[in-house]
Amino acid sequence: MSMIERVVSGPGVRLLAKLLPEQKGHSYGLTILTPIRPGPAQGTGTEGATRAAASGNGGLARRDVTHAGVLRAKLRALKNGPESPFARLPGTHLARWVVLDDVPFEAFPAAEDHLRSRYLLFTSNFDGELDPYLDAMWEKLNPEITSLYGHCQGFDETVNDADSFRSYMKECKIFTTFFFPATPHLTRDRILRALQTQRRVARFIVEHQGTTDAAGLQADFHQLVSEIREAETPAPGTP
Amino acid sequence: MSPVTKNILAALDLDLEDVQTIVLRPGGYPSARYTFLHISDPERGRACLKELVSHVTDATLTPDGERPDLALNVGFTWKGLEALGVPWRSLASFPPEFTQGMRARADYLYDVGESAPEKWDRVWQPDGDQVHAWVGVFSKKVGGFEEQVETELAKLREIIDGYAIKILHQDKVGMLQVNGKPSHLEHFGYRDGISGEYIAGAGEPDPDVAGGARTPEGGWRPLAPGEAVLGHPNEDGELGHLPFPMGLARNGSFLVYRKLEQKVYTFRKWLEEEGARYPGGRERLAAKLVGRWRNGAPLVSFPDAPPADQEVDRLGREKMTGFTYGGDLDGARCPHGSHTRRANPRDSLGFDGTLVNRHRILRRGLPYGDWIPEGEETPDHDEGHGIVFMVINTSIERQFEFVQREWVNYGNDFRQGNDPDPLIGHHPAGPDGAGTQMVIPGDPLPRSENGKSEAEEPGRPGHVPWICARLPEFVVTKGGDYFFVPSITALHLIAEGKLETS
Repeated sequence: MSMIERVVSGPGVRLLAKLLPEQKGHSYGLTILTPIRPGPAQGTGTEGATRAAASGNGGLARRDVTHAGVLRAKLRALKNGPESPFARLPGTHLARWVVLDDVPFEAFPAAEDHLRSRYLLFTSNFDGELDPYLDAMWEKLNPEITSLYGHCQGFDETVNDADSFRSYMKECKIFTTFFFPATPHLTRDRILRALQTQRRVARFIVEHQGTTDAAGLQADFHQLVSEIREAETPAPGTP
Repeated sequence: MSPVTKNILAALDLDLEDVQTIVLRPGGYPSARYTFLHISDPERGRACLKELVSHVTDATLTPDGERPDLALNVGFTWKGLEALGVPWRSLASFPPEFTQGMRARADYLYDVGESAPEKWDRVWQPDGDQVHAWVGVFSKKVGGFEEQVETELAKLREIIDGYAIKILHQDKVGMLQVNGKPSHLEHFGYRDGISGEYIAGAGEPDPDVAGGARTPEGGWRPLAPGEAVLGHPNEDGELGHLPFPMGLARNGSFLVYRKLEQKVYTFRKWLEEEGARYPGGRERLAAKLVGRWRNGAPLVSFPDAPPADQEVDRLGREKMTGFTYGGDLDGARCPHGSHTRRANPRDSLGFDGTLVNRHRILRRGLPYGDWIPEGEETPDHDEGHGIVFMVINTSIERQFEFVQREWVNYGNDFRQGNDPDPLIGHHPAGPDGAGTQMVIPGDPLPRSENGKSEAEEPGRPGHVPWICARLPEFVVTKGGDYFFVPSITALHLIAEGKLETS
């Protein structure tokens, strides 16, 4: 058993799960490691494939024709901020996809360790339970999911609907150690609204502080409260 | 006793003869001249340094505990070390922020907008001769120092001229003359330079350790020597990152040089106007911005009114420098966002001050420009007045840059969101016209004998909460850089080209 497997499975994890659960308050700390398909990606870079064959050792001369390479290029093209795909995913505080090549080399030979595959890492801090979140992912992020996970092992063969996607992702889920949410008691939308409220109240105070017109102040304050109540929740990713 | 404290005690005797004066001796020099040099030839540069070294003063004190009457110190930018022919292996071993220099760190330091490097003084622009060396001449005299300093500078010029070293620029600083008398005030009218953190082993006969580092018992101890002097244990009980070889690093330090222009007119005008709106009045507002009253008395110890000026000098260290914020967690007395509470949060962040002790800076600053008497300021006075702010630290990134970025220009550690330091922070106008703000928490105290809060008692100055909005830019960076201040030994090694790096 490799060091990594010892860390992510076994009795140690069960103990950790008790001490540091993946769920705190509203927050869920999700980690999914999906093995990326080895070899060249279909239909890309015949040049690279030719050079790979010419090199004679099964290796590839050009990174960008592997599934991992294509994945990286696709991830680079994703937008951040309000245009991030994760902004379409309800309840997402922080999320990212990363291509994991291997673990860092530490020392030879005692601590040398390798991953058995490259992985697509997906981490997310979100509100609520896992199943509905994965269902929302399938529904709201379908173009990205099929495009990205098509480079992962077993995806094209097994996933064709929300149910099969849910089981696929759960199969690849590992336990999130040391999950520390800064605001476990607040949902994303409450935080977005709270920031909006803070901005509006600060502006209100600046405009009214020092006034002696109590009736006017009260009227304006009621107006502010109803405005805040009726205001739409700001879009995720906005400052 | 913590391991850190043990280390400090073990290292209690710093080699004062090997450390330059400015590293360990804050204050005590009311006037100074800073000269910036360009070295065009390594060999002549080293020959010049060889002659200069005998003039460089160290941190030893006279038997009476006095500093030398005149101090001369020298430091080099990374480019300056390169210009002196310091071997590549040494050059490559310096930390990245020093190698880059202050200009390249502008975004990180919030030197943007009016403070952007393109607007800095001519000498700091990249198209001319680069600043290689800083020479500071410090005088203990308040009056008549000009002559003394000029004599010393003439000597310096003679040495430099002999080796065709170019003088690029000079900054003149000194205590302000207020009403014809030397004063501790800076241009905004606050007493400055009150806390001078004491370094363990600096050998001061009667060191003021109050306000240094907290002990778990609730007292104060000196800061670990490695916070000011390279090659000695720091607050983590470690040596930290050291340039190579040890002979170059040990007993040296890093100097941050920043010329900060103070917009005297903008500040006084804003304070007058906002002070007229603020129910506590102008002087209370002035104190809330800074965390101290104008005469230096801390708000935590004097929440309602400052003691008389004559009394301040008699206040014990416990009140002036040794106060804490533990009794004021809601910021009712001293706002969390105030200038001094940000720059040195003392016990504000918990853990017996451990988090704060890693980010202490040792200030060595003096004003430039003439004092503008109250009421005589005009828009012209927004230029030509300020402070040459200098910091001694062993890790520019962990000490100066951290304080500047995380504490001065960002409020999260103090639960102030994005609010910056109201005095020296960067105050951009917001997209919605909101700009930057400072929140002054309300103060329900003091309550009168009948138990009513003063808000219910007409006739007493209000302690109501207040938001200062749309703060103008009060302080603008006009230039500066990072300098390595080598030990006397290292100066000799550099001058003689004897740095052994193989």
